[in-house]
Amino acid sequence: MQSFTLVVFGAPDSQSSSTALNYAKAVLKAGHHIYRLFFYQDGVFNACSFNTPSQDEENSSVNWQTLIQEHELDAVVCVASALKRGIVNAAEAERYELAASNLRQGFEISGLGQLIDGVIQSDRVVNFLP
Amino acid sequence: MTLHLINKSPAKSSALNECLSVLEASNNSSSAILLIEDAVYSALKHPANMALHEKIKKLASPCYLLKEDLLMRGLHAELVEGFTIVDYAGFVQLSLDFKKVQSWS
Repeated sequence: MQSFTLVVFGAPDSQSSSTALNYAKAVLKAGHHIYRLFFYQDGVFNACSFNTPSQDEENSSVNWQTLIQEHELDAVVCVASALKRGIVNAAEAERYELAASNLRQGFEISGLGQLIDGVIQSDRVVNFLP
Repeated sequence: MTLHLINKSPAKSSALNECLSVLEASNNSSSAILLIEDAVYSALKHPANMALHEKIKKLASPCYLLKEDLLMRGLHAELVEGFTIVDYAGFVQLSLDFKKVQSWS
């Protein structure tokens, strides 16, 4: 069994986000371990709980959340990328006195250090560029 | 040694061309290239791709295409020879067969 860290750069409506999701599923199907999912740059939009695409479209945020919760994956959202795009958890919302928080359940906000840790701890790191 | 991952069409990005130049210059036969998403258009039999295909032919490194992305674009019947088609399970296995996965943009 090998361990993987996947870095997701693409927004929910990009193909790179669904490529990463399909890849994550294939990693787990092959019996390997996902050490961490790291959502970076526009990839943080996947962690927004306000995403409401049309009914005939895939909801990439929900698809990620389902995979994360089913397999209890560690899903980290880059704090700097998230804040500048308006993705906040309750603690950040309070700190910046924002009207609401919108981080989707299953995701966790943290820093780039978590990406470095993923690079060190995993056998493979795969970047899914936008 | 390294699996080079490319996801852009050759019409929009020079990633594949640059990657081929690097592999050519380093005389590196222990690496491979995997084309995903719009990069699968690089395997299309088309005059615009001829220079790329010449470069690939000269290279010792194998070149792979992601099956799902080929089928999605209806390209599987119009490819030049020399590419190997893999599915997502093959993509995962390739990432393990090589020491590193390098994504190009």
